[in-house]
Amino acid sequence: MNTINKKLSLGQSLFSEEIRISYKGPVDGKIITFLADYIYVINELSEKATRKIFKIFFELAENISKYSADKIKLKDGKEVGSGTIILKETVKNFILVTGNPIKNNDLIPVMENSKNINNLGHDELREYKREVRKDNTVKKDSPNIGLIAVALTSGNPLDIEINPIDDETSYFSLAVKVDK
Amino acid sequence: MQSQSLFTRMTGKNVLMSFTGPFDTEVLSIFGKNIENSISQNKKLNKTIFKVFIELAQNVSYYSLEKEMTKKGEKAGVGTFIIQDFNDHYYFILGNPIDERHEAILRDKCSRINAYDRDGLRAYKRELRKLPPGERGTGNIGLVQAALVSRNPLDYTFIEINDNQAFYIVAVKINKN
Repeated sequence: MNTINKKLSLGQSLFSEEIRISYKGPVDGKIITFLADYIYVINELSEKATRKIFKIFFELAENISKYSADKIKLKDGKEVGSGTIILKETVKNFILVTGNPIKNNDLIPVMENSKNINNLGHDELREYKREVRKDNTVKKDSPNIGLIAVALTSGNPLDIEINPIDDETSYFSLAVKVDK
Repeated sequence: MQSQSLFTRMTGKNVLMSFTGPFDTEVLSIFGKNIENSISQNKKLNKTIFKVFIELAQNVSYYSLEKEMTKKGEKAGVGTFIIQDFNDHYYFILGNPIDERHEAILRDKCSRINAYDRDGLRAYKRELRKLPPGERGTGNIGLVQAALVSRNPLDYTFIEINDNQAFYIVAVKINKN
C-alpha cells in the first residue's frame, strides 16, 4: 500500500483536487460500470484522451477483478478480485493507479513482460503484442496482453512496483500516465 | 481520531472498502449491497454497518459542499467513505467538504449526541423529527441514528481547507461482538 502512496506523493490530502476518483473494494462489473460512468462525467477532455483513459481503466480494472489474490464473494455467489483504483489529475496528464495483492506464480510472467514493454517503442510493442497473442502457452485473457494494450494506449512507460507480502503473495501496483 | 492522513487511511492494509466521488443513489445501492454481503460472515454485523453507511452517506449526498452532476443527470454531493477492519471492531469513516459556517453547528450536534445515553439519544431523535424540513439541515438525524445503531460515540474532526470551507470527517466504531 505504501507503494500506492508513493505513486501519489505520500501525505497529500484526499480532498485535494488532484484525486478525482479513489476506490478500494471488490471490482465487479457493476463497480466497473459505475466508475466508468463517473470518469465519463469528470472528464472534460478531448475525445481521444477520454477514449484512452477508458481503455486503460477497463484493462486494469479487469486485471484486478481476475488476478487479485484478495477475493471477495458477492451476493450472487460470484467471487471477484478486490483492489484499489485511483484516478489522479495533474496539469498535463491523468494518472491511473491500481493496486492489488497477486499470487507470485501470476506475478513472474507479468514482471518479465513489463520489462519488455518498457524497453520497446510503439511499433515494436505492436509486434510484441502479436507475438504474445500467437504464443499458445499464453492464455488469451492473460494480464500480459492487457498490460501491452495499456502501454500501447497510454504511449508512456508503465510504472510498476512490487512489494512482497509473504512467500506466496506480493502487492502489485501500477501507474499509467495519459497525456491530456 | 488519529492524525494519520486520510489518504493513507483510504488505501491502507486494513481498509476493506473505500470510495471518493459523488454519493448518488447508485453509490448507495451498489456499495450498500456490497457492504451487506461481503464485509464479514456475520450478517447481523454487516446489517449494522450497512445502516450506518446509509444514514451517513445520505448526509454526504445532500450536504457536501462539492456537488457533481452524474451521468444520469443527478446532482450529488462528493465525499469519501472508508471501512477499516480491526481485531475487535470495524471503523467507518466518512468525510466531505462543508461550508465553514456549518462547522460550529455540526460540532455542537456531534458533541450533544456524544453526551446523551441511549434514552437521551432517542428523545433527541424525536425532537429533531419535529423540526420543519428546512431546519433539519446538516444531517442531524442520520448522525443520531448512526450513534444509536453503532452503540458507540461519534469521532469527528474538521480540517480547514480555506477561509470559507472545511473538510468534515465523522467516524463510527462498530464492535464485532
